[in-house]
This record gives sequence, structure tokens and C-alpha cells, in this order.
Amino acid sequence: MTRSSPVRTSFGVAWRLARIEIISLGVVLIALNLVASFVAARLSTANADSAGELLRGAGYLFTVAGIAAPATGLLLGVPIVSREIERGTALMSWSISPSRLSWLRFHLMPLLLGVVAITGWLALSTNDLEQALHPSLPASMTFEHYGQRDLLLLWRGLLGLGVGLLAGALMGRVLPSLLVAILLYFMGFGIGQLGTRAYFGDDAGPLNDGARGSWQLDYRPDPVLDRRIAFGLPGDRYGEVAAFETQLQVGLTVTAFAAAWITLERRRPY
Amino acid sequence: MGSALLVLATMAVVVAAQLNSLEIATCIGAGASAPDCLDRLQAFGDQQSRAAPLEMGISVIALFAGVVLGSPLVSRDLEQGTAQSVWSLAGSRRRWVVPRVAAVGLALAILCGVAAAASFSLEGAARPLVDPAASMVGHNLRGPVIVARALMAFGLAICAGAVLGRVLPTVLLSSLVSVAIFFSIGAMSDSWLRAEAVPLANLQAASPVTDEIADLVVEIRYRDETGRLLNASEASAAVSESGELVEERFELVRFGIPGARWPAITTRESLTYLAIGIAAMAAGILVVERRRPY
Repeated sequence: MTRSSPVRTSFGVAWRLARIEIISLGVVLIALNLVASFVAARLSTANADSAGELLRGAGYLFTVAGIAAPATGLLLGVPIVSREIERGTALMSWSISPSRLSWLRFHLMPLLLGVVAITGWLALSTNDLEQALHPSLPASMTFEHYGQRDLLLLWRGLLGLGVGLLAGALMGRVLPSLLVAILLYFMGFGIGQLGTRAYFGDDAGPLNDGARGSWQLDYRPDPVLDRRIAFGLPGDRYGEVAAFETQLQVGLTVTAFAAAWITLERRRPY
Repeated sequence: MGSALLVLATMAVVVAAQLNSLEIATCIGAGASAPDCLDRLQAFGDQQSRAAPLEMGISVIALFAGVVLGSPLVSRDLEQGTAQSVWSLAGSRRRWVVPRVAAVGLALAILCGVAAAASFSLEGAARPLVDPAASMVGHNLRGPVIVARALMAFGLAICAGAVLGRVLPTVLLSSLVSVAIFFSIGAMSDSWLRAEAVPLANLQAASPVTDEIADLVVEIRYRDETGRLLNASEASAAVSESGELVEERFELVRFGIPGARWPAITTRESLTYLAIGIAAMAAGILVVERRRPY
């Protein structure tokens, strides 16, 4: 009789426990990626009439991508601990594992890799779509669809996973955990947004009318023109802003994972 | 979810009260002469910008409340293995499931009704130049359609829960299906409105600080000297050689839905959502009667 490897067993268990979530989310995200790639390819050859429809479709795609990435993390992260506790199987499965940390690693790793793979692919295909929308402007030089494309999607997916895991470990019931996780995610997301805005707020300068791809932060009075004008950052600072927000998101994600681990180590298994 | 809805409804009422307290009507029209009108109009604009996110929030949370309240109603008992005993103790499965669906559905409808009423009053305060029952601005973000959408999501969640028998997959599936139906009905409603569009005359302003109008413009056409209506590309082609502007050569005609038709439009959309919700609830009850209790 051959023994299967722990990695293979880990993936098998993850699949058996979360197959409906994996299939539903996988179908949605793969369809989203394929449609984004299709729209990007069509945009380069579209005429004026069909381009309008494609642009509208692209707008929806960015919105859906911005929601789908964290939703993937949340929906896969919430049940990891909470389902075991709710079903009453935690007592046995935690006691037969060498440690709770190894139990967590065994259950978390396949889902972590799944979230990285699928949101990473989404990040790349939405970036390609942005490039197809504005061929003359590199996607790394514009704030258009900020947070709905590029690697920020991957970090938001991982933040969702960490927050979902933490909420599940705290609450021990699936549905309340999901609601708490959504709330925690929005708090984390808000901290990221506000932190970035506060950090770069002082750098904001007047934006020229029609400055493409800039990040408009607020309106301030212009003493010379005697009217309020837009202040913000030019598109070429996109990389710097995205890197700063990424650092914040990664910090929050690591904190969430650490807090989930500590909670798991200390909580009762019921 | 109930708390979230009530918090949003309270915020909507507070913002509506703040907007009403500015008494912006005294700054509109020929007789407007209050000295602080500029400041009040600016304050009104700031408050008005909060109305749309609140109305949108109420609409989204109401839909999600339907999913969250409906998902565990059947699926939790199946997932936890208690269905076998509770179904056999209840006498009949229908007697077990119908009162639960009715009680939770009624609570959901009351909660969403309160939120929808708050949203409606906020719309009235944010766009004081027009009656919210006769305005197509944000036409599907207020009124009975909010309750109907929540009940649709509730019905779909019950049906999905009865089929899947697990809570989280039910939340996921019913959310996806609810959102898909929401967008499909939105697209269907757009095409209905496009087909019912009539020439709009005497456009009525809805807000003193923005250029919103009470009617919904769905298409711009141009009337030539013979009275024939041209679309934008036909009109552009007609003036391409002469170098004239389209607006100089032709009379601009806006086609759309008059604001006064809001009650009929919202009733139609609400009934569509409600029919889907009731059908899904009935399907869910049928599944409960026939499926294995594990």
C-alpha cells in the first residue's frame, strides 16, 4: 500500500471540505479572467460603435474584479476554523494533529496557494485590460481603476483570507464569522485607503485640466484664479502609491494571520 | 444585518433632516433674497453628496440581508444533522418550513420597508425641486423595489439552502444568483424604458445645486426641417460636408421617461423581483418536502 504525500493529502482535504466554494469562485474568476482577456483583445480592433459597448463592459469588469478578489479570500478563509468548531470536529482533529499550528498549516496552505494563483492571474489580466483601454499610457503610469487591477488585487485577496481566518477563529460559527469578516475587511481596507491618502496628501499639487490618469485628492481654492481647483498626484506616481498601500495591506494581512494563529492556539475547540 | 439596515436608515433620516433644516426653498426662484444663500447652497451640496451613497448602501445591504437571513433557514439544520429529528417531530415538513419562512420573511420585509421609507424621504430632501414619487433620478434605489429585491434574494437563498444543505456555499451561490438576476433585470428594464421612451418637453430640474432632472433621458435625437428624426450618427453625417454644428442645423429632441411614470416603473420592477422570489420560495419548500434530511 502506498502512502500519499502530506502535500497531496492537504490538497485533497481542502478540496473535500471546500469544493463548492472552490468550484463557484473558480468558475467566476476564470470567467472574469477570460472575459477580461477577450475584451482587451477586441479593444485593439474595435470600431467606434462597438468600442463604446466594450468600454462599458470593461468598466463593469473592473468593478467585479475589485469585489471578487477580497470575496475569494473571505469565503475561503472564514470556514477553515469556524466550520470545524461549528460541526464539533475541532476537538478531535486538533487533538490528533501534532500541534494546532501544524493543523492550521495543513488546512491553510492549499487555500493560500489557490488565492495567490487566482487573484494573481486576475491582477495580470485586469492590468492587460487597462493597457488595452489606454494604449498610449502605460498601466503603471495611471491611477485609472486604482485598486481594481494590478497586484493590489492579490494583496486584497490575501487580506480577505487573513481576516476571514481570524473572524472564523474568534466566532467559531460560519455565518456570523462571514459577517464579522466583511466588517473587519472593510476596516482594514479603510485603514489602507486613509493611510495612503494621509501619507500622500501633503504631496498633492494642482492638476491641469484633463490631466490623464491623475489621482484627484481634493479641491482647494486658487488665489490667482479665484476658484476651486483640483489637487492631486500625477499618474507617474502610481507605482509609489501602490507600493505604499501594498506595504499597509501586507502589514494588516500578517497581523490578521498572526492574530488568527494566537486565537486558535488559545481558544476552546467548541 | 438588521442593525446595519437600521443604522443606515437612521443615517438617511438624519441627513434628510439636515437637508430640510437648510430651508433651501427660500434661496430658489425670483423672490430669493436671503443673505446667507451662498453658504446654505454650499452646505446643501455637501449634504446632498451623501445621499447617493446612503441610498446605494441601503439597497445593497437590503439585498444582502435577504441572502443572510434566508441561507441558514433550511441549510443549517441539514448541515448540523438536526434536520432528521426536527422534521420528524414537526409532523410534516411543510408545517416545519412554512412558518419559519413566513416569520423571517415578514421580519425582513418590515426591516427593509423601514429602510426603503428612509431612503424615500432622503431622496425628497436631497432633490427638493421635485416630488420623489415623480422623479426618475436613481429610480431603482428607493421605494418598494428595495423590499422586493430583498425578498427575491431571501427566496433564492431558501431554495439554494434546501438544495445544497450547507450554509456557506448557500450564501455564495444565492449571492451570485441574486446579483446576476439584479443585473439581468436592470438590463431588461433598460430595454423596456428605451422602448417606451417619448419626446421630453419642459425638463424639470430636480436639484438646486446639480444639473439633475426629474425625467430619465435615454436617447438624444435630432429633428430635421421635414420633421424626420435622426440619430446622432445620421445627424453628424448630414452636416459633415457643410461644416455646421449638429445643434445649429437640427432641433435637439430628448427621448426618455417622464418622472411622473416612476410609480408605474417601480411597481413593474418590484413585481418582477417579487415573482422571482415567491417562485424560488415555493421551489425551496418543494425541495424540503422531497429531499433526504442529511
